[in-house]
Amino acid sequence: MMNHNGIKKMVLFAILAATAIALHFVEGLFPLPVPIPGIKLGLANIVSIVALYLFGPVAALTILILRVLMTSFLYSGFSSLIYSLAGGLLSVLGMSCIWKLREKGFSIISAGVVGGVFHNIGQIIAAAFVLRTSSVFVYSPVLIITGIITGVLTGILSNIIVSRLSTVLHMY
Amino acid sequence: MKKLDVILIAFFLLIAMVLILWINASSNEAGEIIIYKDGQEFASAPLNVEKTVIVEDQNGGRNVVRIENGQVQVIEANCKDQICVHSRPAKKNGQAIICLPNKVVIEVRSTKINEIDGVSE
Repeated sequence: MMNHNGIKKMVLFAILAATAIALHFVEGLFPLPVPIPGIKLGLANIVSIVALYLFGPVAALTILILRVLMTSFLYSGFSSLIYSLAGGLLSVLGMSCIWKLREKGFSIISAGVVGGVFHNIGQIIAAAFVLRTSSVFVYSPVLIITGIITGVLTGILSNIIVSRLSTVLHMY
Repeated sequence: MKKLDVILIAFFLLIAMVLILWINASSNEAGEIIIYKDGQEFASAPLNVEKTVIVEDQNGGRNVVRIENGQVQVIEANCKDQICVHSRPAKKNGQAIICLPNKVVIEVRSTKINEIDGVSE
C-alpha cells in the first residue's frame, strides 16, 4: 500500500500540473499586442515558482516537464516543444539557484524575475538553433526587459499564493 | 521586495542596456538583405533597389518581402501570428524580421568591407 504522504504528494503535483496547463491555455486566449515573438505574461510560470517554494526544485522540474509535454501535444504542436522546453528548463534552473539563496536575502520576487528573464533567453537560444541564425539575438534586450516586468508581476502573485497555500497544506 | 531583489533587477537592466548599445554600435546603414528559409539561404538583394520577393514552400508557407526606401518589411504572410507583418521595417545592419511559423528570417547585413580584415603579412 502506498503511504499517505506519497499519495498526497502525487495528487498535489497533479493538481499543480493541471493548473499550469490551464493557465497556459488561458494565456493563449489573450495574446499581448506587441510585434515581438516570444513575449507573454508567463502565468504558467507562477505554478513553477509555487511548486519550487512549497516542494523544492525536483517538484518544480517534474511539473514543468509535464506541463510542457501536455501543452505541446494538446494545443501548440510539436514545433513549439523545443521553445517551451528550452525556456522552461533554463527558467527552473535559474529559479532553483535563487531558491537555494533565499536565506541570503533573495525574495520570491527575484525568483520571478530570474524565471521571466531566463525563460526568454532560453527561447532566443532555441530560436537561434532552429532558424540557424544569430540575428534573433537583436531581440534579447527587449526580451530581458519584458522578462523583468512580467517576472516582478508573477513573483508578487506567487508570493501571495505560496503564503496562503502553505497555511492550507499544514492543516492536512 | 528586498535589497538584493532590486540589485538583481538593476543587474539585468544593465545587461539589457549594454546589449542595446552594442547592437546599435554594430549597426550601420546601407547594405543588403539576406532571406533565410528553413536555415538555408533563400535569396539576397541590395537594400537600395526596390524589389518584392515572394518566399514560398511546399507546405503552403508564404511571405511577401518588400524592399523599399532603403528598408525591408514583410507586407503579407499567411502565418497564424502575423508577427512578421507587424514587425517594424528593418534597415540597419544586424536587424532582422523573423517569421517563426514559416521559418523565415530576413536579415540586414552591411556590405561595407571590414577594415580590420587582413592586418599584416
